[in-house]
Amino acid sequence: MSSPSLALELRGASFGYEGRAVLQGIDLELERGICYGLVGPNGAGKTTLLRGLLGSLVALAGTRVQHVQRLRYVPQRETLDAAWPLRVQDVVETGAYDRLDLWGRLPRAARERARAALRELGLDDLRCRSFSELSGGQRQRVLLARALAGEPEALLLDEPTSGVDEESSAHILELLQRLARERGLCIAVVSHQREALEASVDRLFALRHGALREVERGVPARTEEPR
Amino acid sequence: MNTWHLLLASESSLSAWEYAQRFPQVFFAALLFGFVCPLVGSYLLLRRMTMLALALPQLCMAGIACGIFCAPWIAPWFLDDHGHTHGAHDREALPAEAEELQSELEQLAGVVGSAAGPSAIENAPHDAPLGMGHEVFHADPRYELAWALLSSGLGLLVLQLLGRRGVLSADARIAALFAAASALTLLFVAESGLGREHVEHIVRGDLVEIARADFPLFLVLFGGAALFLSIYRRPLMLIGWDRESARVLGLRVRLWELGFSVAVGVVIGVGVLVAGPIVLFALLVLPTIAARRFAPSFGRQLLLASLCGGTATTLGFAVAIPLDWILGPTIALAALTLLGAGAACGFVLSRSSSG
Repeated sequence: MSSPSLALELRGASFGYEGRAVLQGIDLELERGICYGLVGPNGAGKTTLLRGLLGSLVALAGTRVQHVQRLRYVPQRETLDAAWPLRVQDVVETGAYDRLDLWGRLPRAARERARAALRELGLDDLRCRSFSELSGGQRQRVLLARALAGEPEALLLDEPTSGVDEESSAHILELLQRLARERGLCIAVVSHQREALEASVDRLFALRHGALREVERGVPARTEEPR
Repeated sequence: MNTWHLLLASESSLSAWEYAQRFPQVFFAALLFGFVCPLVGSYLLLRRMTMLALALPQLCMAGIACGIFCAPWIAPWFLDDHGHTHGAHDREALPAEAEELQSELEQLAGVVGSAAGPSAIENAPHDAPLGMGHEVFHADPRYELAWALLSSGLGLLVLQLLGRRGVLSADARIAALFAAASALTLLFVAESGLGREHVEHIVRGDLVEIARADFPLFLVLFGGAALFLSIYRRPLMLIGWDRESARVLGLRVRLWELGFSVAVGVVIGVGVLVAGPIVLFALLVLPTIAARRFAPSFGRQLLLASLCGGTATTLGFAVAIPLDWILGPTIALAALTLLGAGAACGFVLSRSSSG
């Protein structure tokens, strides 16, 4: 019997490409109201794990169970092409595109929700600005607002603090903590910046040699996670 | 003199406006062509697939050439008893449209029995792409359209399959497709001995080719594709920009991609027949680039690019008819002029805002 607060679950899951497993035997339970950190050096399989959690990669073995209806994803902003002419408001509204009607129109309620998400993240003044003109930190907040516009129950973020200055990084992580506590969201942050996550998340997991294990808090990074 | 319609127009010194009134299907087809091509171009440009706008028309040409090559076996009714293709010279009666036009010509310019006019009319095939001479493949536009659509559909399918398997980079796949399509076009034409002039005619491209009877089909195909790409711009944009998020949101990415491929295939397949690959490429790309500088959002990009394409077509019409220039390339030149004007405006605006 699974816990009612469970949002996502992996049981003995293996993920990989073209039949070859990159990660094996992953057991992970993500609960609502908790902010998780998933760390590991480059090439450890963080993106593979994230894609597995999202359901974009089908498990080669084991199972993935999604207990929530609305799972949302915040990609690395570098993966988004700046050539597209998109205003901040347009980007945030894409977070509610699962509610487009038969004629491809966004209902008024979804638009208002997107506007509220912009206000919540202090981006209302920027809503008519081009997304590609914003700074790294501002773009990251826009992507977060987009995720919130979809009224998520669980949120998976890929390297949200990468390439962002220290102040913006702290602000983003603080915001994620607040969302987990106040709204009861399940939040999982994938990052290679262990130090930044350690102080901000409730539980920290490390990927090493294709396996995932929980990190004891307070253990120096050098012994726990060689870089 | 490139076509029968233009010949009539120049003989009677028709203005662009008079021409549009007498040949409305040509005018409206050209206008629709100008409005719709940049819609497709915008998607291709932003998805960084501009080279597809060059490769896919070439693939359609290969398909048309293949259709002509296969005609003796699968469509022998396009050939005469001697194994030659139907030419315009073996027609006994003037086509109805030609008679009507001749009468209009006589009324308008008082040219009765002029040397060029009647001969041009006599050489005009009935309700088929015009301007073809003797010993030319009698091309039914629907037969060619089927081959163009089949080849573009197959090309898109192959590209998708190779992409899914990660074979070569996107650029390399498209380049290989272009090379293969070009080679196949030349081989099919050279080996068949049929329709060489016709294929060359399509490559040169001319929007005045469309016959009145074909206009409804053109309208349905082009209009349908334009509606799809405009109405469903939001999911199509998200899938192009952030596919992973689209998938997580629950959009049926493969289904949307299929719809997108069909719309692109239809516009390019029909566009090749109507305007030829070079003019088609110009209208896919130039208005799109011109609009990109000024469009703040994706919806505006589609609108501005489309308006720019429509303006280029109208300008091209206004210049080509009185000056007796080939319409397609004139439209491409008009689009290039708009692009230049847009770039100059952008430069001035950026200078004034920074100053």
